[in-house]
Order: sequence, then C-alpha cells, then structure tokens
Amino acid sequence: MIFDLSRAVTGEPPCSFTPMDRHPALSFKEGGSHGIHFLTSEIAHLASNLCTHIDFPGHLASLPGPHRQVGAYELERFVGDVAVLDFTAKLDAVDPYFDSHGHLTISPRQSGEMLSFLRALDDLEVRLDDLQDALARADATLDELSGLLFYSGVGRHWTYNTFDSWSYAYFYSPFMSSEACDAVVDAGLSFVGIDAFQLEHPLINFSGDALPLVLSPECRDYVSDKLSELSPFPNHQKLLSSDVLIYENLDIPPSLGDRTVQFSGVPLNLQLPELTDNALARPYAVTGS
Amino acid sequence: MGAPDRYRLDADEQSVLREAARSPLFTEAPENGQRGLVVGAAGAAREMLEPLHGVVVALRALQVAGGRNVLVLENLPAGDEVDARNVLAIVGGLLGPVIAYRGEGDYIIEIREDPRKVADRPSFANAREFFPHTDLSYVPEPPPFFALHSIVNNADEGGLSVFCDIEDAVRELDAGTLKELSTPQFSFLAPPHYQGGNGRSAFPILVRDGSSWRVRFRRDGLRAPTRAGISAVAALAHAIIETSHRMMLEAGMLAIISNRSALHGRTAFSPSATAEQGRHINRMYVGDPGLPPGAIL
Repeated sequence: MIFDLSRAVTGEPPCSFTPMDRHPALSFKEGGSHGIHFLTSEIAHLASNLCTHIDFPGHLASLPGPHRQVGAYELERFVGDVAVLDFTAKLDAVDPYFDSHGHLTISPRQSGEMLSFLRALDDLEVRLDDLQDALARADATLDELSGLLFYSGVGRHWTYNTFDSWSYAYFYSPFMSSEACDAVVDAGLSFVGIDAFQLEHPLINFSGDALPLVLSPECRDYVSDKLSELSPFPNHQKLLSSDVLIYENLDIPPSLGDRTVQFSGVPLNLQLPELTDNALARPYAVTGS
Repeated sequence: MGAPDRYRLDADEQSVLREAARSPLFTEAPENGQRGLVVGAAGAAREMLEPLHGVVVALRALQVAGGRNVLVLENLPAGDEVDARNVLAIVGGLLGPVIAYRGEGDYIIEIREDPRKVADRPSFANAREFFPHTDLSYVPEPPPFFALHSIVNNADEGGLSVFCDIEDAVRELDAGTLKELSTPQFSFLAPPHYQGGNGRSAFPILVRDGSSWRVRFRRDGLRAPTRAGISAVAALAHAIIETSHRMMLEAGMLAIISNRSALHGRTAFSPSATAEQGRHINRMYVGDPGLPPGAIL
C-alpha cells in the first residue's frame, strides 16, 4: 500500500503560531505555440516551509555556510527504509491539559496550573532508551535505516489555522533528547521526520512575550531558566549541523506506528542561488501489505 | 534601553491643559470617515498653552539627534469632562504639527482589540504580541514622532509596552551586519487596513545620520533579497530582544516617541470581556516642524 504522508497546500494558513503575512496567490498566463494556446499557472508567495516540508542546514541563521542548494542533494538522501516509531504514549503527560479539540483548558491567569503544565512538558522527551525500545518494537536497528519518523499523535490536531503558540496541542509534541539526536547523527541517518510542528522542546516556542509569561512572573522565571539550559533550537542545531535533514508537518497514519516502511520524500530540483533552507515535499510510504 | 524619561505635569500645567482641551479641535467625521483638524482652534489654543513651557522643553529634547527618544508624560487631565483626543492633539502639537497619512486612517487611531482579528498579523486591532517596530515602515517618509495616550490599560491583563533605543541595539552588531542593514534592500509589507497602496520600494533598515542612527523596521512582513540580508535582520531582532525595556503605560500616561530612533512594541494581552474594559490606547502622528498643522501626507 502507498500512504501519502503530506499535508495539502491549500492557500489557507497552515497550523502555526506565526501569522501568514502573504498567502500563496495563483495567477495564470497564456501563450501560443504551434497554433495552440496554452495556459500556465504561477504561484506567488509560496513559502518553502509551508505545510509538509524539509529543513535543510541553511534554515538556521546561526549555522555558518556555505550550504548546499536544495536541488544539489542526491536523490538517495530522501528515499530508503525508515522506522516509524510510535511515541503517542508520551502525550499522556499533557493530554489532561487539553480538550478534545486540542485547546489548552487552563487560562494564562491560572499561574499555578500553568506552571504545572509547563513542568509536565519535560515528560514529552524521547530519551535514548525510549528510542531503543521503539526501534525494538519496530524490529529495526539504526544502522540499517535511512531515516526515522516520529509518530507523535499530535497530527490529529492539524488544521488550517493560526493559534497562540501556548494555546494549542499541535505545538506540544514529543521531542528528541540530546542523546537521541546524537544516536541519530552517529548512525549516519539521512533524515528524521515528525507529524508535528517540530522536534524541539515545546518551551522553545515561549521565548517571546507570550501571554502566560506576561501574566505570571513564576512562569516567566521558569521558562527563562529552562531556555537558558537549552541552546536555541538545540535539536535543529545538532541535526542540521550534521546534515541530518528534518521533515516537519508530516501526516502519519496510526497504522504505520512501530513499523519499518519504504519512504520517499523528494523535493523539486531547485538550484536557485542561496536556496539552502527549506523545500516543500510530498513524502509517501510504501508497505508490503 | 533604560526606563524612559518621565515628566509629571504640576497642578497648574494640568489645569491649563484641561481648559485648553475644552475647545473642539476636531470636526466630526464627514462622509469619507476622515475627521478634520480645526487648525484655527488649535492655533487659538497656542497662546493659552504658554504656561506649558516646561512640557515643551521636555518634548524638544526628542528633536535632538542622539538625545531622548521616548518621553512619558504623567498627571494629564482626565475624567468624563475631558476629551482625551483633544489632550493628545494639544500635547502632540506642542512638539510639532499633527499629521495623518492618506490611507492609514484618522488623525487619532484607537489601538484596541477587535476579537475578530486574532489570527491576523499583530496590529492596532488585536491582542497579539507585537515585536518592537517603527510605525509606517512601508511608506516612503514615516512620521518622525508619534504619541500614545493610554486610556484603559490594566497591568493584570498584560499588554506591557516595549521600547528599544536603536543605538543600544546597534552596539550589539558587527560591521558586516550594519553594512547589510544599511543597504536599501528591504521591503516592508503594508497591513491590510492600509489603503495607500504598496509601493514595493526597497529601503535600508538603518541610516547613518551624523553620529546617530535612524531606523525603519517591522519584523513581520519584512523581506530581503539575499540570505546575508535576512541573516542581518535575524541578528538585529536578537539585539532588539536583548536591549529592550518593558514598562506598563498606565491609564492616563502619554508617551511621545521618536519613530526614527526608537522601536516600540507590546507584549500580548488578555482578550477583554467587553470593549469598555479592554486595553485602549490612542495614537497620533506628529510631523517635522515646517509642515502645516493637520497635513495629510
């Protein structure tokens, strides 16, 4: 069977906390050739990190270049056997804080409850032993894989809308520990992916003046202390600096959990100067049955 | 930057301002929605305002390059009998001509949340966090000054004001970054409410003005044509975060800001249960001396 792992680009805002300042805009042109008129569309403002996409090393402003152009990567980097690892049980740590629609049920004014929630986020971490257990369940070893896909379960909350970063379940996925990232890098994997916004500790999204931090000095202090422990986007830094690519906003069906499948997620062969950061892709998985 | 300078009006100054604010300074909105400024009335008020010499001196420090760039006035007249729009217009007029921008709206814009706008870019009409920026980054000649008069603001609801002195931020940047930011390569996207068109011009973010820097900046909607350009913006954003100052612009306070040398923003704030209870700040632009009062640019 073939499973489409992508989220459709519709022109609506993707599930994010960053408002779209420009929406993809379709226009058409026509031209004649050999007596026939052809129509061709053109998409303006098509961001390269819209919906399902790949992060490349150039995505990090802090990562010194030069970086390879998206189209300069060999096709082998985007295909191969992958293990789809089910970490949905990690969500038990935060599920009680959300309603069935994925909205946080505690108010930013509830300082104590908010602090408890923020502390619970640490339990979303996928440690090295969690990773090894999941690989065993999938009957896989890192050295025989091209990549890993993290089935987090928050993909059920994907929708086409913009939310405050602290308020919506899609932004609170399980994330890789530093040691788990090291294992991926050491194994020489080509890529990782997740059915969520990103593979980072969700507190990374609280670095600004989000409302819970403005209303609660205790929460602000807690997040400030935690962020000082975490370097900015540590997993992105660790993975991309080793040229391990990252698929984000995948759509992973539950039936693929803890299985090894064939994967393909090839971007367009775009070799525009300085295009080294992101690429849209339509990944899919193939299973034997 | 440190806390902005403050000037507290004494009882006499408050009384003069209260009396002057009784004059109608604005005509009611005609059919095109643009209120008029009654220049004659403003001019007549000017003689009345001579006792406000101390306020004028404090404001004039904003016009000195490299000098003060945010001034907070306190103890302004308030109450049901005082038209807050008039107070704002009079104080702004002490610094320079009150101006408006074609396509941007009235002389006085009410900054308050519209619950329907939650998913949009940060703006005067929603409660989102607004990264420090300069106003009207997308027009060729942004206003040199503007005033924010806090009408309703509750510290328990968030909505702290954030100020950044561009000189402080620049000190955090290396020469290569400054060179990129000084290159006229950045485009700023006008917000949906702006009806003045989008000229799509490319601007520098920083301009050297003698020994000082001028700034034009808004993070959302900003585009650079090169990776080096947008990397410089990322560095500037980090420097702004590191050097900003947060304060509560409490109800009754009026901040006058140099739009060329300071950035302003706000933290997120709680959506309000009713329009009357929600954060409400009036904004007005002030032009360079020489422009006629009430000029529409």
